[in-house]
Amino acid sequence: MELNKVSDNIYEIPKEGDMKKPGRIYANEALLEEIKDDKTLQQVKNVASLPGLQKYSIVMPDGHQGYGFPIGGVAAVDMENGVISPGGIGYDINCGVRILKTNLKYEDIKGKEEQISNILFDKVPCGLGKGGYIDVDEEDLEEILEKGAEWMLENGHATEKDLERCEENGRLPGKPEKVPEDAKKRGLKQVGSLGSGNHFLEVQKVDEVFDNKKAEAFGLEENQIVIMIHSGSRGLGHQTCTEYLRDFEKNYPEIVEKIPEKELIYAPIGHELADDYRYAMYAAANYAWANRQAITQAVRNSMDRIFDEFESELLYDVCHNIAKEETYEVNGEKKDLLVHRKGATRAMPKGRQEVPDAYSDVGQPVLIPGSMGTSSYILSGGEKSPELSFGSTAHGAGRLKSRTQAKQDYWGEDVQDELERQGIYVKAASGSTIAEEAPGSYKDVDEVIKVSDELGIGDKVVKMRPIVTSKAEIKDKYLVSLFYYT
Amino acid sequence: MSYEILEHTADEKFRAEGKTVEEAFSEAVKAFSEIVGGENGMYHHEIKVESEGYEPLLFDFLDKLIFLQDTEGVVISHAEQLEIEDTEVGHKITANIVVDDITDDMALLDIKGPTYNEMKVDYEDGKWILEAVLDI
Repeated sequence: MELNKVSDNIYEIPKEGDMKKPGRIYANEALLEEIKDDKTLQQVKNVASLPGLQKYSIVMPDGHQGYGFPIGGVAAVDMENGVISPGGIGYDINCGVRILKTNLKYEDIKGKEEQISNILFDKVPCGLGKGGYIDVDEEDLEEILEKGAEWMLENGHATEKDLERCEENGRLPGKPEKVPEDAKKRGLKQVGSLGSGNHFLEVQKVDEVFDNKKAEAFGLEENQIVIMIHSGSRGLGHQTCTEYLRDFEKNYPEIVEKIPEKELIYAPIGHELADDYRYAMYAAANYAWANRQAITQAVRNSMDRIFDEFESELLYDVCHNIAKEETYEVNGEKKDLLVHRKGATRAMPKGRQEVPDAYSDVGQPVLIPGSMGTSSYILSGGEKSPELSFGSTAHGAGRLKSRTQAKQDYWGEDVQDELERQGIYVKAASGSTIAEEAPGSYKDVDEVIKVSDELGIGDKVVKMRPIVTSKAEIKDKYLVSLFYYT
Repeated sequence: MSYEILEHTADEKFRAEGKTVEEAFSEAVKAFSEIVGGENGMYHHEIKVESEGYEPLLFDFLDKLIFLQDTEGVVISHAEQLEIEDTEVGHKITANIVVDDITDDMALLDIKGPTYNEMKVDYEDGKWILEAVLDI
């Protein structure tokens, strides 16, 4: 496939055939070589054929092969003549990340890691069939689908600041009646639950500050304890995506004929089914915000038990699987666009209306999780992001090796020993669990952040190190509670 | 007659085979169960799925298994009776699925949904072969 280097960290697939626009890859040479290893570039090309696409079909430095769209993909279409594609948002609608700032320093939690690990693990359900932290009935669920985080505030599970510091204030114009009934049934008992896969809850310490002024504006300092929550819309969002995918497939057979992968299916914005999906997607996004807020309450109620006068405040909450209506300048003209972000994070710089007042001088916080044993980052929205990437940057390190391959390459005890040498202690029930999530299984998040920073789409503010992680692991029937000593 | 869990970078992929298409779909249930972490079961649930072709049928059938787990609080074990008939729409599965209750001591994988990615429903070399990727 032809690939031209435009400048450092910017590569292009020239427009040809059915492509409406060129493809754009934001990556350095090393990351580009990894991106070439799977079908990511072909998927970037396929997405470039979407009607109404503006500027380029984009993939981020942590991009990898997805279903239809690549993960790390950004595609902005004209609201007037463009299309919406559920695959461009992903099964886990509004999968995203939030960070709580706390009044704790690392010294306060040293020696209490196991205690924290046990209580978080106990309070916050993860894996299949563990219920949710907050009990809701069908009526509550309808309201959650309409109001998102606002319902949490009205029912005593959130503060005003929690909403102010959330993308969209935790509410999009969702229509509960557009969410499939089976999706509601799946989501009913899952409000305040992590899920599985790469979802997790992590207690971290701020290890390094890159920009003192921005860190101060965000209320962050070295050695401070922060808590990161990574989860989405659970069974409700997944079912919503699955059913609409099938509806699109049945209603637009002529589009199915044209596209190389079924998950690339799309429908024109303004058509009834397309709009039904969009408002269902917004409602599912509202559910995800409610879910992350419920987990926040579980975390607060857990930490309260261990630390007297524990205080926490939401830094920010970002989506990385969503489509948003946003305005950008394209060829000198202001246009209303629908921006699909699948495994990509919004990264608005100062001056954009989307940035909360508290951060108007700095730009929005951008939260980038790493993987087990590796750092996470907080960035600020970069000045170049509206021009280069429709206000977007990466979402976190993508997987490099399959879980099966990881188990062959890394044996649990070796990984455990290596991590202990780095000062990280991992408690897990089985060796294969650790191997599957070994750091070598993931792309290098430091490199991904470097590219984002160099391009000016997301600027480094601080780096964090994991202290305690709670997640559900696959295989061997063991839930993993990992904790780290430094 | 058999199933296998295959390589996949981010999610879970399986292959299921059978002399008949029903056997292959039955083996797919066992593959699903292994991926989730299920074992033996005591309870039965009937599932009915009708779709316009074999691939949509596999997609919708896997979707139904996921739905059953989430809404009934059970984990899939295997299929006891599984029949597939041709209909005006396409094909219809009627299956008796054996499940187990989920208890506190179990640690099971939560599957997000089925995908069409790398999906296969083919008759080759005298057997039916199904392959599918589950999004986790």
